[in-house]
Amino acid sequence: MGRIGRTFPFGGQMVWVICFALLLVSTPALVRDLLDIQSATEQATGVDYWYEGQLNRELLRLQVTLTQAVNDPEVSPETINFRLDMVFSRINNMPRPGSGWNTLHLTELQEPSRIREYMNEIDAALPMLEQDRQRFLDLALLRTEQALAEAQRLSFEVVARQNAMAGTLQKLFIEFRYKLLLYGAGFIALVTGLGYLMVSHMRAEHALRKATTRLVDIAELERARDEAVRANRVKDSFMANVSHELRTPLNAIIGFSEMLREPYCGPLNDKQREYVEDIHSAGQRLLALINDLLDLSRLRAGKYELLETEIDLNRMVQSAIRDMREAIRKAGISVTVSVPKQPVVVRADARKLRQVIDNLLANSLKFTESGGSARIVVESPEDPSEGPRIVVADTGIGIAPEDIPRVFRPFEQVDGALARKHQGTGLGLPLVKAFVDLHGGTVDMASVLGEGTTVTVTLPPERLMPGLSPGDDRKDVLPLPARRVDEG
Amino acid sequence: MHPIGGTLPAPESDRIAPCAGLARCFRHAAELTLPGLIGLASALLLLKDIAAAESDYKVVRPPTHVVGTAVPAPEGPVILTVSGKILPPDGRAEIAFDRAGLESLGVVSFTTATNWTDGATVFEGVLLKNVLEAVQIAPDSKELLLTALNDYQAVMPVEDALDWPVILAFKENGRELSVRDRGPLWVVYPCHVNDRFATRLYLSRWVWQLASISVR
Repeated sequence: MGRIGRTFPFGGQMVWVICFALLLVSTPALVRDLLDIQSATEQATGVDYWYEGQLNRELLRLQVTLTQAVNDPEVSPETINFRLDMVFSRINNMPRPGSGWNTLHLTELQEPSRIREYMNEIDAALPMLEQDRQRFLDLALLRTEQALAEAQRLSFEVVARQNAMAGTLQKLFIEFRYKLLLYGAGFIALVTGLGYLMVSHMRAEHALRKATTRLVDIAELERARDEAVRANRVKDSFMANVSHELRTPLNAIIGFSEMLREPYCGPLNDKQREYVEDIHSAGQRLLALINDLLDLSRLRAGKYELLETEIDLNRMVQSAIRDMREAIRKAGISVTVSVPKQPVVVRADARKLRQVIDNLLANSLKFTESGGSARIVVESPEDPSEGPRIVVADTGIGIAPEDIPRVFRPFEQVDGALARKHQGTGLGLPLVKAFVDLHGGTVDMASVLGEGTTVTVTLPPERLMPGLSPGDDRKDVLPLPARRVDEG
Repeated sequence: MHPIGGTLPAPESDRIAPCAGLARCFRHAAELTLPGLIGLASALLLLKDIAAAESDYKVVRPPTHVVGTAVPAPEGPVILTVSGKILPPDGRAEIAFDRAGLESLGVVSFTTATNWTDGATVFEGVLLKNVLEAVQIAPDSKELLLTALNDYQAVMPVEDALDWPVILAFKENGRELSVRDRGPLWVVYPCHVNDRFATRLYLSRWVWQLASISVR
C-alpha cells in the first residue's frame, strides 16, 4: 500500500470505499425503481376496459333483441330473459375490489350501479311481457338506451383513467432513464476505479518482483565474493606452506654444493667444479625466489611486522654495492654511489630495507645492457617535512609510462620476451613497493623507453633520526666508487 | 534476469498437506452435496406435482358412469355439448350433457383462491378429465376450444385437463352458479395446487358460462 501511495495520488483504500459506496447506494435505488415500474406496468395493463367493453356489448345485444321483438313476435320471453341474464352477469362480475384486475376501480363508479338499476327495472317488468308486450318493450328499450348512455360514460372514464395510468408509467420510465444514465456513469466509475486499482497493484507487484530479483542477485554476488576471498586465502596459505617446505630441501642442496665446492671432501676436477657451481647458483636463485614468494604471501596474509632498528642508509647502500660487486662485474655496468657526508640514520626494518635496495639494484643490472651505467644516490633533504630518499637510476631499456603501474603488481613483467631473457619472478618491484608501504613511504618510478629508469624511494620524515644535521657537502666518491668495476 | 524471478516455489510441506486425502474427500463431498440437495428438492417438487393430481380434491360423489359405455342422452336442459375429435362408443359426433349426465361422471370439490372471488372458495363440479374420458377424445387430440354463452372463446391444451384436476364447477361455496353469476359451468383451475394457474397465460382459460367444448 505504501508503494501505491507513493506512486499514485490516491490510496487504493479510498478508491475502494468510493466504489463500494456507489454500488451500495445506487443498486437498491435502482431495484426499487424497477419494482415501481413493474407494479405500474401491471396496473396499466389491467383488464377493466375488457369488462367495460363486454358490458357494452351485452347491452347492445339486449337492445338488438328487444328491437327485434318489437316487430317479431317469435322472439320468446326466454330469449329476452337470457340476454338480460347476460347483462346481469357482466354487472355482477365486475372486477372484484382489491383484486389485481380492478386497477381502475370501476366498481367505485356510479355508472355500473345506475345500469344495474335500469336492468332491475326491466327484470321487474318481465312478467308484463305476457300481458302487455308492447308496453314492456317500450320500457325495456328506453331503459336499455339509458343504460347504454351510462355505459358510454363509463367507457370514457375508463379510457381517461387508462391514459392517466399510462402517463404515470411513461413518467416513471423517463425518470428511470435518467437514473439509469446516472447508474451507468457510476458503473463506469466503478470499473475505472477497479482498473486503476488493478494497474496500481500490477505496478506494485512488478516493483516487488524487481526488488526481489535484485536482492537475489546481490545475495549471489556476496556469495561469490566470499567464495573468492576464501579461495584467495587458501591459495595464500598454501603458497606460504609450500614455500616453507621447499626451503628445507633447498638448504641441503645449497649447503652440500657449497661443501663440495670447497675442498673439504677432496679435490674436484674442472668439469665437476663447474657442475657444482651450477647447482649452487641455481639453488641460490631458487632460494631467492622462494624467499620472495614467502615474503609476498606473508604480506598478503598481513602477518608482516617490522623489526625496527636504527640504520645508516649510507652504510647500507655501500654494503649492498659491495655484496653485488660480482654481479656488477658480470653485467659490465659502471655503478656510481652518491651519499651525504653525514650518516643518514633512519628507523626501519634493516632486512626489508636492504631487500628494497638489493631488488632495485638487481633490476637495474638486469635491465641495463653491458656498457651502460647505474647510479645510486642517498638524499637527506634540508626541508624537515621531506623524508630521506634513495634514488636508483640506470640507462637501461626503460618502461613505457603506461606500463609503470603494472610492474608493481606481482608476477607481471612488462614484456614476456624480456622475462625469459632476464629470468625473474616478477616479484622484485612488488616486494619493494610492499616493503616501502609497510614503512609508510612511497615508491616513484620515472622512465623513458630506451633511455633508462629512475626509481625514487622516499621514507617518511618521521623515520629520520634527529640530531643529525643534514649535510650538503657530499662525498661524491666513496671508497666504493674507487672500486667502480668496469671490467666488462 | 534471475531464473527464479520473484516467485519462489512453495516449500514441500505446504504442497502436500499431511491429510490431503481426507481434505479432498471432504471437498468432494461438499461439491456433491449442493447439487444433490437441489436434485432431491426438485424431485420432491415434481413428485408433489404428480401426487397433487390425485389428492388435491375431495370426491363428493364417485362416478356412476362406466368409462367405455355410451353416455345416456340428456333428459333435462342441455348445459354442455362436446364435439370435435371424439370417439364415443355409440359413434355420435356431438355429446350433450344435462346436469344429471354430468354428475354421473363423479362430483368432486376443492377449496382455492381465485382472481374473481374473495378468499378461499369451495368449488364443486365435475373433473374435466372425466368428461373427456367419457366422450373418449381421440388420442391425437391437442386442444379444447371452450365456448361460453356470450360466444367468448378460449383454447386450452388437453394436457391441462389430463394432468391437473381442472373442474367444470356448478357450485361456488355450496351455491348453485346461475347464468347471472358465472354459471351454469365455470372452468376452475386448481390454484391451490399450483400458483401458475393464476397467471395471465391461464386466466383466459377460466371460461365461465361454459356452453360447449370442441376437441381439436
